[in-house]
Amino acid sequence: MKSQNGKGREVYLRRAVRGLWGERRRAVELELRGAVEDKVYRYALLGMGEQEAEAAALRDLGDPGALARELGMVHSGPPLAWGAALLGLFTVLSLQAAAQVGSVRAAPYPRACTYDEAYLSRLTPEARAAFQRTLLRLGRVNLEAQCRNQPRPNSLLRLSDLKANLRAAGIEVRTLPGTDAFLQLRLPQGEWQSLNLNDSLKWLGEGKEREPYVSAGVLTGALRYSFKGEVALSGLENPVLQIGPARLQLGTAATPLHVAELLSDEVYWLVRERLTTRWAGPVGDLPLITNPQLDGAADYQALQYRVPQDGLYAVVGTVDGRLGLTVFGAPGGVLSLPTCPCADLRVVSTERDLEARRRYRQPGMLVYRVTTGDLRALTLTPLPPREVTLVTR
Amino acid sequence: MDSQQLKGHLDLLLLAALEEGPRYGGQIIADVQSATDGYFNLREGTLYPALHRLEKAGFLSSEFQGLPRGGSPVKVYALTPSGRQELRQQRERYERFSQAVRGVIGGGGTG
Repeated sequence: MKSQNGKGREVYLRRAVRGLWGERRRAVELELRGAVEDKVYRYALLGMGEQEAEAAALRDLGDPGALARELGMVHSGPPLAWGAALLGLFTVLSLQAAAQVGSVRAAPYPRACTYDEAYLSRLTPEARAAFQRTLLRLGRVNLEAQCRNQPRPNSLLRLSDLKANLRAAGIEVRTLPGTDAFLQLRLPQGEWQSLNLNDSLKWLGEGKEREPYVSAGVLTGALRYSFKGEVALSGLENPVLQIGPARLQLGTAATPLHVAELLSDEVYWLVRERLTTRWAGPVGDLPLITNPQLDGAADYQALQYRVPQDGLYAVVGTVDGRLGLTVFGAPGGVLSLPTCPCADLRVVSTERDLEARRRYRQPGMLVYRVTTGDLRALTLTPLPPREVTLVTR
Repeated sequence: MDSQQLKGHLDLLLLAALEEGPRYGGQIIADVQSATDGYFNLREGTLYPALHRLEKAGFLSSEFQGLPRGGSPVKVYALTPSGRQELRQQRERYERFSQAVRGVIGGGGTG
């Protein structure tokens, strides 16, 4: 019964944040999740049963579609109908089709690296204590310098490269007036359709060098949910993205982009859905840990596991009763995972086994292979423990 | 409650609800309801987009905080200095407006 409740809640939350992407989507989802739990708790105090409280809480939140539209308006700019009326004013540029792979330059998300005490409240007590120890040891100035010098994942894509490459493949591209990255595309013989990347727009560089960039993950989400046409993805490092007739290499040798930057958001939802439908209890907070080897400290250590093949993997782990998710590539069939601060880390084969490990506060992890290819048909396949073997410790 | 009336004054109500200190969504709803004796029954579907809009405008700041009962954290909102300024301005506008209405419809000690 409990999982039925949980499922309704998950479906509701997923529908309510549709249209938001990336970090913002996760933040809004977490906020609404907290709100639902708070409601359920308050109703339970009034003497309602669990199911009744859950139903009442979701009813209070109202139609998830309407909530998604309202939130989308706040975060993503003007509604489509308004923009479409203005589009007639625009000159449309279109170049001849060319079946070649053009590259789209990537860049890291700018990081302010200024110490923000408020952020500490989002950390687990252990992580907070560890951070405070480092702060004490290095001092604030050194810590901020260290942060600035750390390599960061190239998760942003240069918008002008993206548009130029789409046009070179015969796709008409225009930008909604009043926005920088609310794109409208028309494939040869197709209709105009929108690709809203405006929510993730970031200007990088100074003066003449100033250029708009958009998030790679947001592009993936927009293609998955709102684009009509073929979308496919191949490769791990600097993957090739096919959008209709266009083939774009995302990232370059100088600023490489890993496929995890494109897919970790989508994989997060797929993992969350699998856990929710298979677990008896609620899933709760599932932080997505992006590129721990890049974000982590200099003393980052990895455990190497051999997996059957090259490709993209998602690992959901539990330590000390908490959950976390990471999305990794396994070049050469070797998966490098952060060292677990625990003994007896067991690879499990099912979501139910993972739930049991979490309940008893035993460390465990479940490894999924992520099948990419068709971007709309991402699938997760759990690996049996015998196929995940520890290489080094 | 008249939803049109609520809509017109939603920003003012939310800014005022945060005047005494930071609150999360559930607290804001409960506060507004009890302060108005249930006249305003604020719904989450209206509340969260409005809070996000006010935050985007720079009137609110927010952070996630855990609750003593555990579970998922809640997002706690607080007024920023420009939010306080906005609250003052909206309050003055509202006072002027309601005085003008009282002037027309009578009552409130004018008759």
